[in-house]
Amino acid sequence: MRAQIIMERSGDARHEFDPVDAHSIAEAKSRFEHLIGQGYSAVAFGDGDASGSRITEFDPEAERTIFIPRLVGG
Amino acid sequence: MIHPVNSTRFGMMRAAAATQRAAVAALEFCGRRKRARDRAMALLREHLSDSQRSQFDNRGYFDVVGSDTGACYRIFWRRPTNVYRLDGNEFPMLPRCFYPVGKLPLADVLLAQKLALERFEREALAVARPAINDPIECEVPAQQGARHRR
Repeated sequence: MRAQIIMERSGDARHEFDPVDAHSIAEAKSRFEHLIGQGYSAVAFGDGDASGSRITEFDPEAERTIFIPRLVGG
Repeated sequence: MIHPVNSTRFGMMRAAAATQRAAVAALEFCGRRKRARDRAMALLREHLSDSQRSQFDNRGYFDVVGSDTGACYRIFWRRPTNVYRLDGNEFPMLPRCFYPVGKLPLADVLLAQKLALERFEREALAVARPAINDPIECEVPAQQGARHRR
């Protein structure tokens, strides 16, 4: 299973999807595009990879993707 | 017709019930906030390197290297201004104020700042504003209550 982790008020929301199930992938891709459209940044991590890399397109192979809300200056 | 004594008794019972409901709601709210904080802290710790985790546990901050400029930043466990660019002697200079929108737990804010600086530094700095260079006080998360000035 792969995970999409969205930072939010409740700590984080986790959505898991099955990388071999087309319906599950389509749902995850749709969520990804929706969040990116809302201004979130996505950082993808592989298995055992702590540093991650920023992605702007959905990657079903990423072990987990963290979505960061839009950044603003204080 | 309701006897005045009974009316007062009903009023008191209603007030007691309302107080009890408010207390239960407050406890549930505190429970949700604690769970949110715990989840965010677990996520942050999972994404810190060994050296960052050690710094964070012992000193209440961790250092990151900017992805574009190679500059070093120190992220403190505190709000609101908590990101400082370090000079050559690892002295915190130039506070930068930027954070993710939404009322996120502090640990999520730190993780967002870390990932932003390590993965898309220029973009993060583009929205960051210089902040007042106030004395840096922070708590060490593992030893709540102990305050440090750096």
